[in-house]
Amino acid sequence: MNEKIKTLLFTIVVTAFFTFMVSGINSVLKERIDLNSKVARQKVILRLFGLITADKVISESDIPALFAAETETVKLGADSALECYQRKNSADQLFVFAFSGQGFWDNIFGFLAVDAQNQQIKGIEFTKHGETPGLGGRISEPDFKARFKDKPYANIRSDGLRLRLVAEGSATRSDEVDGITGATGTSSAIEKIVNSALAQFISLKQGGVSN
Amino acid sequence: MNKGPVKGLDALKRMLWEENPVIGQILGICSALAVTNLVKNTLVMCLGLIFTLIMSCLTVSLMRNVIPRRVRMIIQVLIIAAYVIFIKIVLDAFLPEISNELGPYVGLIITNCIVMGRTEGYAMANKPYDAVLDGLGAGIGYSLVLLPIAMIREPLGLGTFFGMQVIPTDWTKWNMMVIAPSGFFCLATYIWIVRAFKSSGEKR
Repeated sequence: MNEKIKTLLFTIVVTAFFTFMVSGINSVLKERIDLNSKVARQKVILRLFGLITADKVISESDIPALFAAETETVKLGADSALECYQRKNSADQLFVFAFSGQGFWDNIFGFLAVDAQNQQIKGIEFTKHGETPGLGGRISEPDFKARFKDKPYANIRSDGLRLRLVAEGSATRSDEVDGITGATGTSSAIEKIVNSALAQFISLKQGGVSN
Repeated sequence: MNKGPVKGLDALKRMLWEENPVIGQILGICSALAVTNLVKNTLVMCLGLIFTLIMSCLTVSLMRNVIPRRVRMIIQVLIIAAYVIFIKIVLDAFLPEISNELGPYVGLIITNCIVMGRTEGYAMANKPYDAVLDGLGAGIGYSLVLLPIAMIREPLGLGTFFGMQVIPTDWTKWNMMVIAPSGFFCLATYIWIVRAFKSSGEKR
């Protein structure tokens, strides 16, 4: 009996000690980690605006300043919570807005860039997803993201969608996007997420822009 | 395999060749397949594992006389997990890009059988000094397998080495080398060659 209690107490003390150590380190570095994830988001948005490209690399530490200097938040609709950005002092109708939705496994988060003038998608980036690596996880590959570029979203197809993800290699119409072979679940989840994100953006945009 | 207690530098040396955890014991294979398509990720993974091994072996060895036998495995896992979470937090804070690329693999160091194997198999019964050398040896032994594989996979698969272009861009990249199956081929070939060497040495 005595032995058992000693074992139990030992386990509790050791567990408490290591938990305390880990949470201590976490709280010390939390600020830095939060800053990193903020910079990572800003980087994605700047990339969608074309301010960061493969040939125009910007160091991590300059990103917050560039972000503050070049972009501004846009409030679409009266009380919308949609996170949306525009270039500062720019006449073009390029918007970058956040989207999220249920993927095949986990929620998928990301940003869409659209040209509201010509009603075209300009780019898509995913900030967080839990899709199967090598299959659905390929959504974050440049090759897949490039498939959305310049796709028009103004018209609604007969199946009620603005964009349809079709079997890989079979997209022929401008309102079709190649899906990913072996990741049908992810492809249809992306289709749903992108369509609802576009619908939300359009309905808010029609309500008029107020800064 | 047990030829009596192995101490000091011998504990380190045998892990490099004779009882190399990957070649000899076929441990830690999952991560060997997963991260070896980029030299940079492999290096970070190896350093992470070496750190975890040294610290876990040291801690377990220091506590070896007070850990009740009944709960020793739980305590070992707890200690290893604490160090792995520590690495994950530090990577998130100082090397976010690499942390992102490594994704779940850092967390998976804890499931790397080498760490558990060394703490249970050696650190539980030996002095801290020997345990640290044993852990360091196992970590280096692991790196000696992973790094050469990564050095073959990255140039052939992506034409780069440590992120720098080393092979002319008109080279047809072997996409196969980037994905996991090529890890199997490279690792198997590596183990085959090393074992062939080993057995020819033993015969003499």
